[in-house]
Amino acid sequence: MIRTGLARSLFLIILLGAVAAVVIHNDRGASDYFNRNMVESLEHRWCPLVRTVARPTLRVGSDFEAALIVITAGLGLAALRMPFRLSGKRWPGRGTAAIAASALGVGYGIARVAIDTLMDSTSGFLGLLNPRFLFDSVRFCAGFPKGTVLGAWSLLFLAGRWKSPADGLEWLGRGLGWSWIALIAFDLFRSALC
Amino acid sequence: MSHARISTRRFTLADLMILIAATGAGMAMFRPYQAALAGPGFQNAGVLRTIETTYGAWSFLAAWWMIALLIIQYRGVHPHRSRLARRPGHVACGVAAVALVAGITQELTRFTFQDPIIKAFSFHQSWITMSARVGPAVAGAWFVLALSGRWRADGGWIDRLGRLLGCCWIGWQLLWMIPNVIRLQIPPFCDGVLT
Repeated sequence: MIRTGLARSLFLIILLGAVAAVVIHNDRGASDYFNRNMVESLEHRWCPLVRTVARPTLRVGSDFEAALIVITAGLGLAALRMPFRLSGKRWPGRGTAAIAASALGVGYGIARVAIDTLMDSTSGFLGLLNPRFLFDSVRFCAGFPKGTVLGAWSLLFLAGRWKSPADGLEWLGRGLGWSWIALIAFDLFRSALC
Repeated sequence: MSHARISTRRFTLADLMILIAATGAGMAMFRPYQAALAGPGFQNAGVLRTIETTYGAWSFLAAWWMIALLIIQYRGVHPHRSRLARRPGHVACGVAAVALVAGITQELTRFTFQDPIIKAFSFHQSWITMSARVGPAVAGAWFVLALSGRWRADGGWIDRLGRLLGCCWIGWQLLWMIPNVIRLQIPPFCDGVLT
């Protein structure tokens, strides 16, 4: 349990620092991937407004994915250190379920990236020599928590346990869950563009 | 009808007909998928083609059977949905259907807005996208169900088959945990059939 305010503040500072570092590094890869050539290929199909906002929106979306992966890992660790309310014979709240499910997805994604990187570090898609290693890893990892949160929330909806009381971590978890669901909607935008 | 009687629900002729229809639908969708794999546009010949063909062979069947199981479950008298939501087999089928709807929506968006001159349509690629979230969705739902202590596996054939299909989706995700160097040792048995 995070007992003191100092420990909580330190945890928050480390988490925010990690988020900032990953987002800045990811943004370099995103600006390289969503380059002008890609935007020019959209020219014939879309109105000027879409062409103007497409590149920054795709970059911000990718950076948001990177931030969410780090936040999910951080909230997962925080939830593990607190008395976890998920255990016990009662349905969890949406927030707790979102934290557990998204942490499972992120953990699986990170494990896949780690295995691929360790076993084929030179030539693989997720090899360390890849100049966009972090960006590609984020894109790869982000698919799994979207699915796990969708599954966990569908379960609560099917069970008729959608509404539940919320406290601090529960609210954070709900925000996390809605963010992952929003990224599923963002995937539609991305599918339409590229 | 009591919970015990519902759990031991017999396999009827109507259930068999629904499953045969689902098998037919799965096999009908596997044909264009297989054709897309055999085409010149598919870059990953050999081992990866074998893996993708295997995926297509079972995943179409699994997806349609899961939808069929939902129909079979809700066709007759059934327990309340809060009770059904504790059965892992039923949960797997339900969340798989939701994940498939999300995937189909994404593919329809791509199909509607994408320029066919820039990127040709591939049924293989479309199915990979459509079904990509099914495994994680089943894993997420089962994880929450197990952690919350609400896992109530039912002895009936519907829940057992649902659990088996859910395990297939999760097992496929775990297969990709095997490092490339080992995975690529699988003998490419499909090349002779497809090319």
